[in-house]
Amino acid sequence: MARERITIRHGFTLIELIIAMTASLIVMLGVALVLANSQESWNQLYTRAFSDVAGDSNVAGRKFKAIIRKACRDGFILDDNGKGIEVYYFNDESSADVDRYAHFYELDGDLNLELGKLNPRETLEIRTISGNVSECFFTAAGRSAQMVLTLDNGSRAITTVSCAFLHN
Amino acid sequence: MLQKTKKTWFRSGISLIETMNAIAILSITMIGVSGYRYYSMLDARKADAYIASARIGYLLSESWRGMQGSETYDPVTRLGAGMTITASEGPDAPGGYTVLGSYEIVLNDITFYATLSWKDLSSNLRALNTILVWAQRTHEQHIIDDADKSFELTTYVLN
Repeated sequence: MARERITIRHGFTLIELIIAMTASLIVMLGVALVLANSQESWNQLYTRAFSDVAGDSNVAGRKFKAIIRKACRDGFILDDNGKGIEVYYFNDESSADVDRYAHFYELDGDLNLELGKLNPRETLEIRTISGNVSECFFTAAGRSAQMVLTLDNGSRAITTVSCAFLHN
Repeated sequence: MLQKTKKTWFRSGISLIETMNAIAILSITMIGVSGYRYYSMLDARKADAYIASARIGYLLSESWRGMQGSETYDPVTRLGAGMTITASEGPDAPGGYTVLGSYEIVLNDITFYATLSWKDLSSNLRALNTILVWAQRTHEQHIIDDADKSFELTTYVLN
């Protein structure tokens, strides 16, 4: 009686291996591209939202508005080249006269705010509001003041515009 | 009598079909992740444009208001030294408002078109309207017809 021999294959054939390896390679390349692209996109997004220039421009705009809004409407002084503006305000409710000044100005890539007393004039403090300033321009229209500020840290540049009305 | 035992072979590893299924699932996941990242970027860019338009609208309205809503107010003269603003065509003003002027403003590589208009509501009360439009779909924009997003602001001034 003839015995039937049954052969059972173990493992994969060469063709299967080549196909699987090729498919895996393509997928791995795709995954690598997606991951690289995602990382770059994420860095751009993070820089756009949380970079120092994004935060500083926001802070500078808010500070400018806060100071200008409490300023006295009687007057302000613009620097000749538009690189600075000085406004005057009451220190508190008990002040009978305008007794304080605030001076925004750009110097060596920094936006500074100088606060001081009037009569006699005395500087109380100088704060640096923002660094990385590449352009800064102040102007005024009637009783409102405007600031156009461009910050550039080398990887990202942001221009922000702010405007406020002198209320007091 | 010897009992014949049946030997069962178990294949180890995974089949080609299983591999292909895994690849398909992984690919779909990657496409989903890519889409998520892409729309995150797009939304961040849209938000940037929206914030910029609001700031420009606020700038134009407040500076015009600072001039008591004057009919001779010219933002090109007032703001041209610090930012890119030129007289241009702009969106339509609201009905009943008198157009002061239309302008093209470029800020952070985005082109905005603005129209300023005013209306006397009473003998001593004037409404100042500012409309800005820009293209949200396309980043590069050179004509107002591409604009598909707008921001409108009205402020009031006592004469």
